[in-house]
Amino acid sequence: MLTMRENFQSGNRERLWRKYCGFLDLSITEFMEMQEQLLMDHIDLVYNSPLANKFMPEKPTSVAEFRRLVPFTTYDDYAPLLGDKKESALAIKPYCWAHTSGRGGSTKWVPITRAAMEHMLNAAIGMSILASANRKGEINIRNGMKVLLNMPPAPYFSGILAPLMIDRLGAQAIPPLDKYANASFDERIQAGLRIAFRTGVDFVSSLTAVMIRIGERLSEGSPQMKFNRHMLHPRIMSRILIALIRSKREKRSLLPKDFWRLKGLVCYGMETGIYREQLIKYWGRTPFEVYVATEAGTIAMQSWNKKAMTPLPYSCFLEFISESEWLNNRKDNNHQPRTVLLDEVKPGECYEVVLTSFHGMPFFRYKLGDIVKVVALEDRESGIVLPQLVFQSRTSDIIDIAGFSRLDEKTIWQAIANTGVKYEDWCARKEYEEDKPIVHVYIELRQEIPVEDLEKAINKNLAEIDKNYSDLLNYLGLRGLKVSIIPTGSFQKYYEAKRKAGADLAHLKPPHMNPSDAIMMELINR
Amino acid sequence: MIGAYLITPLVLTFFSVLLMVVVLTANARSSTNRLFACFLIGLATWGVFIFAMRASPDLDHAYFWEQWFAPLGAINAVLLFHFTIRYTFREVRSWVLPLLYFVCLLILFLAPTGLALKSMQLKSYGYVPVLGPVWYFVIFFSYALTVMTMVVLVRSYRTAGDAEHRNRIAYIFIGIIFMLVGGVFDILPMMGLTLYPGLIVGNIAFCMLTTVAIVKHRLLDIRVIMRRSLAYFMTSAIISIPFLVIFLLATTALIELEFGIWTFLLLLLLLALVVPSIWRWAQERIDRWFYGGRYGFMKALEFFGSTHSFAESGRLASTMCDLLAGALRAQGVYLLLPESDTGDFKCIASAGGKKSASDISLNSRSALLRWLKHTDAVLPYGDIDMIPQLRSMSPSEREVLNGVSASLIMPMKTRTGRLPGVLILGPKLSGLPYYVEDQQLLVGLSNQVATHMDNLRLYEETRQSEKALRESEEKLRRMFESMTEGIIISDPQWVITEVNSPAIHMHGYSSKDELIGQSVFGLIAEKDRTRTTQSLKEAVQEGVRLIECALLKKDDTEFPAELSSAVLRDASGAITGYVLVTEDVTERKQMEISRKEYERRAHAASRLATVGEMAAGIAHEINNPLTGVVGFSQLLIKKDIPENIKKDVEIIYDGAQRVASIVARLLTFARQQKPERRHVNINDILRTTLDLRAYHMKAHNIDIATEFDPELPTTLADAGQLQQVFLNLILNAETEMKLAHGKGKLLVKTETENGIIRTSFTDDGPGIPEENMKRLFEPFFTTREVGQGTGLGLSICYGIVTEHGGKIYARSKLGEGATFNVELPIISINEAPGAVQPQPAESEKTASSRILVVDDEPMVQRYLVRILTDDGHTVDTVDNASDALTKLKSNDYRLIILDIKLPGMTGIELYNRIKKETPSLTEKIVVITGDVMGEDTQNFLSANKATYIVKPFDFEQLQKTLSRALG
Repeated sequence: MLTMRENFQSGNRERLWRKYCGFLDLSITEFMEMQEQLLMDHIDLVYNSPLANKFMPEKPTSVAEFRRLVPFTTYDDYAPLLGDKKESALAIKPYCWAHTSGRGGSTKWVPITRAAMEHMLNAAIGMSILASANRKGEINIRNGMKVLLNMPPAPYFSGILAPLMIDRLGAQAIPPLDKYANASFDERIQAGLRIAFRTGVDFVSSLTAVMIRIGERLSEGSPQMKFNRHMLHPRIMSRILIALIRSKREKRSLLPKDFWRLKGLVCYGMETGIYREQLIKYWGRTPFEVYVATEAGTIAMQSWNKKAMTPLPYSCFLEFISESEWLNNRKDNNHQPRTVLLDEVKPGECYEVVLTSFHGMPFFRYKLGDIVKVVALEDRESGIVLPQLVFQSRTSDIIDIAGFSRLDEKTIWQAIANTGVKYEDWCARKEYEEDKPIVHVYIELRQEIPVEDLEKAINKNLAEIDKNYSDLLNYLGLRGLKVSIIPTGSFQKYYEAKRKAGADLAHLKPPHMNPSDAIMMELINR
Repeated sequence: MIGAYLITPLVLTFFSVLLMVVVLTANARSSTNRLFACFLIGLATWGVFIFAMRASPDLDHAYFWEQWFAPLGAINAVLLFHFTIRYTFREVRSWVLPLLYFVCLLILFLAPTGLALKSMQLKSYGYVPVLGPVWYFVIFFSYALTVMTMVVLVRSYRTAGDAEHRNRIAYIFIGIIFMLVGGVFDILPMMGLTLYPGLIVGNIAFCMLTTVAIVKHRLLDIRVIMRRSLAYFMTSAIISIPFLVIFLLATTALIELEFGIWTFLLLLLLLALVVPSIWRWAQERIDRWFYGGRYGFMKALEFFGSTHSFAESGRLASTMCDLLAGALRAQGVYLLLPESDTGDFKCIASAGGKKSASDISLNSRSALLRWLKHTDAVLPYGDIDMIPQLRSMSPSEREVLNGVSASLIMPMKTRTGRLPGVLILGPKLSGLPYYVEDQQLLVGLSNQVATHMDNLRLYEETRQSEKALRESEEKLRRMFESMTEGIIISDPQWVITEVNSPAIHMHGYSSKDELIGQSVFGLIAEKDRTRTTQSLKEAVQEGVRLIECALLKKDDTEFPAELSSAVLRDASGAITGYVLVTEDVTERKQMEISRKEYERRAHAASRLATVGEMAAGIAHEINNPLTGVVGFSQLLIKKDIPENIKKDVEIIYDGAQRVASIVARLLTFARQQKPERRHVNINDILRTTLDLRAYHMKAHNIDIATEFDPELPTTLADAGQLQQVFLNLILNAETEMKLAHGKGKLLVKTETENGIIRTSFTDDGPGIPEENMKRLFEPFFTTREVGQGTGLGLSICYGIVTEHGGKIYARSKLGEGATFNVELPIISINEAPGAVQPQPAESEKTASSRILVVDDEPMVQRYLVRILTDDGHTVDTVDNASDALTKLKSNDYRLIILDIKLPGMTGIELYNRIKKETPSLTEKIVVITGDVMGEDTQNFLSANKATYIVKPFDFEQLQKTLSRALG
């Protein structure tokens, strides 16, 4: 087998495209055949393990039987074994254990098999190719390209995958992974930026929030840009000079895209869609979205047109719980929701994702807690004939108002972002005012604005984004939103306090949706 | 030499243009192909300009064309470099290429200035340029760039992971060396050395090598057809050499000879004659050159692909594997074919290889097989990871492929798209990759073999079908012959064409030949022929119909049969004949008659049983009031009442007695009365019975004849009941004869036959109409007028005889009298079950006693009280068991008259209670019952030896019983 590096060297782009992005050409029949084959192979592989026996007392002989016999699971079902990294319970000794965030400050350990890691790596390379492509078959990544990584370090999955991917691509990581292996996330971001000024950047793989923050800092800071000794480096000087010329030519302030001409920008986080235009404005490149879960790898990713996401057939077996079934289950825990497969989903419908990992990984009919929306059954523009998905929300992050409107993190975030107000961070939770449910948004601003005006603006945006919320206002006359501005520095103080307390990276910030009373007390009192 | 001097640039141009067309046709959108095409255009232009320069009439013209060589040379060098870095994916600084093109542009501008080319000079072979200073720069520039190109190629060669890719690079590299060397031959003459210019030849060599790279190593992914064309072109080029030689001779040496033109034509004629041979020779040379040591195997494979036959099918697979392994120099070749039952592909033949063929199989669900079914192309193992559909390949599949070190996987597809097999090839022995020719050979051969395999499969399937058909035929034949029904097959004209053995035997023939050729209708009895023929013709029109008719045997005897028929049609629906199924139903008909008789009897028995139950119930209900009527009317008769009233009362009494008699007979009929069986002599019973009626018979002119079997054995029977049966039959005969003709003759006969005693009564009366025969033994069936008979006589006889295990039946013809037969089994068992008989009570006057009467029937109570009181007894009456128990506790009774049927606790239960509590009292109990024949009552009386009296009872009977009880 030729390595990626060899393939690049031998120059067979068509082969590269087929290998890493060929899933986009699959028909739904081929997709389902692959899913079935991989699931049955996976069952054969893991059936005898104690963990599998816990959920599969009998060995299913077909997909239908599997769906009938195996119950839905959540991480709580695996926690007693995986939390303690009990490898004896697994079918295959894992290649590594990855760390992923859990709600309420808990952490989740996920064993990753070698085969799964290989698939995850391939998906990551496919992601890089597609992120940098503008049309089908185009491969713009090269050996030696410089990749700015603003991702959580190992043992987070992104931190484990990054060095492998960099090696496979023959790329150069910024900042160098070995040198900054023990640096904090902040230090790595700062160091990456510093190095990027000198070496340049071809490709960025980052949390969206970080890219937005860097963009804001650079654009806000450009008018007051002062020379310092670092700028004396000829490469930095030339870069700044070129950037200045570019910005002046377009008669605007400096933006990151003036410094670096990116080939690809991969962004992680549900706010990617919200800040899509801002990211394009700052970085000159349409952000590429992926739907990744540590428990299964890459579930779906965008194509070269960077619109909705196409599911991958070889990461996990996908089932979907329709919104109505999900709601019935939410009302009545005893209701066993019915699932549909990818060839049964309907456009415009939202579904909770249920996955069964492949390649010897341990998760069976695992409720990830994510809701996706099927926006179309195909992408005619790019000729993809598989259902197109967008990430909608997490099931736990939904605020239900009077059973009429369900607001998720993405909707509220979009409503806040659309106001154009500069803010530090926010969180929202369901509260009661005079026995009536409301969404209470706590927001820390970086500019002065009357709270009433802000509330009106967010309320208006919510009504525009969410029709049900609009109906709530128009027909029921309910006031569904309350906004409170919390003191400047609240989030930073919370962050500092958590960092000092040694909290995990994923739990340094308060959750956006439904933070507990304790978190709110901690956030506001500080 | 002048000819060659002029022609070589045109050859270069031709080669270059041809290659350019091939490259652009392959993929005009590829920038790499476009760059190479540009370079080829440069070469072609170079060729044209050289030709123009060389063909120039003077130095000025030559100078005009020569001045463009400097920029053309530079541009070609840059284009080659550009193509190379693009082809090898090497990166250069972004400014490098623009700079190089800029230099070319500069040279282009300088070309007409004279700085590059001062003038032209004439040498022995043609024109030679006098170089200017820029020319030296151009030479340096072009050489430097070419060297850089070679460096890039060397680096790429080192890093290339694919051996085929390395080969392509090597060909380009060698081609460039040719160009470089040729260039030296061009430059040195310019510097004064007398050398023939060689760049043109070098460029031609480059084109030739590039062609080889395209043909052999798929340079620039040129399609097979293109490469084939190129191969033919090369053959043609070789063939063209003698033509060129002749042409050159014609234009130079021969033109001056006297018979030059004739010589030229002669040579051309000779050439035309030998061209086919030369063509074949050249083609073979090229093939040998391409295939090297594998040439022999290739030829064998070609032969094999076109000549195998079904007879060779057994060796086909292994021979093919061996030949393929030899032709392709493969370490291993494995042929996998699907198993008919599971669909799994198993290795059935292999050549070379380390792994045992039996270990190699692919599951029918395999992702690889699924994919191979949808492709016609060879799948190099390395491409598996490039195909998304194969990402779901299971580890076991990969293990199979890894186990045989698979290098190529070849689906064997038929024209219809079926996948009858899969070829897996291990790596080449040399370690080199499989070339396109190898793959091409595989595709061609595997398609041929796939078609053959498919034909084999079809052949095998046909064979299996034929075998199955034969087996089926044999099975059908066995079934045809083993059927109990006769089967006759006829042609559309109803002429017999085939019959089975049962049909032959059924019709009394000894062989089928006797029947074949006869008309089906000839087998039908004359009386039924018309009807049956019509029915058969209708049946084949309307569908299967069962026809009953008489058929004929060979000796013209008839037998009843059932006939069914069906139509035989061919594929077009036309009638080809008929099938007749015949069944001899003689036995069945007889059985049918017997069955009907049994059914009739069962029906009668069932009705009798029902009527019997009803009769028992009625009898009980009637007996109670009847006791009052009989008793009180008797009492009245004994009273001193007026004579006329007494006569009326006597009528009432007689009537009541008659009713009591009917009720008693009803009970007998209902078989509630168990026969008291003793060994009896039937003859004796008959004599006694006949004696009873002797007077009456004589009085009515009826003669009695007897034919008694003197040796008649005794049998176990109830003499009284048999007497009743016989009397009934005699009375019936007597009545019928009397009614018919006022006299008659009755023959009574006994005989023994097969363990039975048959007694028959034959009269010469009017006989019994057929319609009445079936109903003779039905209860209440009578032909007499109302009041003349109850219709129970024969039913009772039937019940008694059946109870004795015998049978009774009649035979009669209307107007010829009737015979009634009674058949009884001969039973030699000495013991007979005991039956309770009413014990005769002696009539005597008893002393005054206290008596308790327990009966719920007021009329019976009153009657008893009256009689007992008249006899001087003190009588207490109660109508239920609990009151009786109370009375018994408080009084001392001498006698208890107890009715068996009481509301609530029955009389039997009360008796048992008394027996349990005061056993001595049971001796004082006299049971009265209207249902002495009931099973429960019989059991009770038998078990307790109780004294009883049966309703309706009269005064005397009661008094006798009471006297005995009280005595």
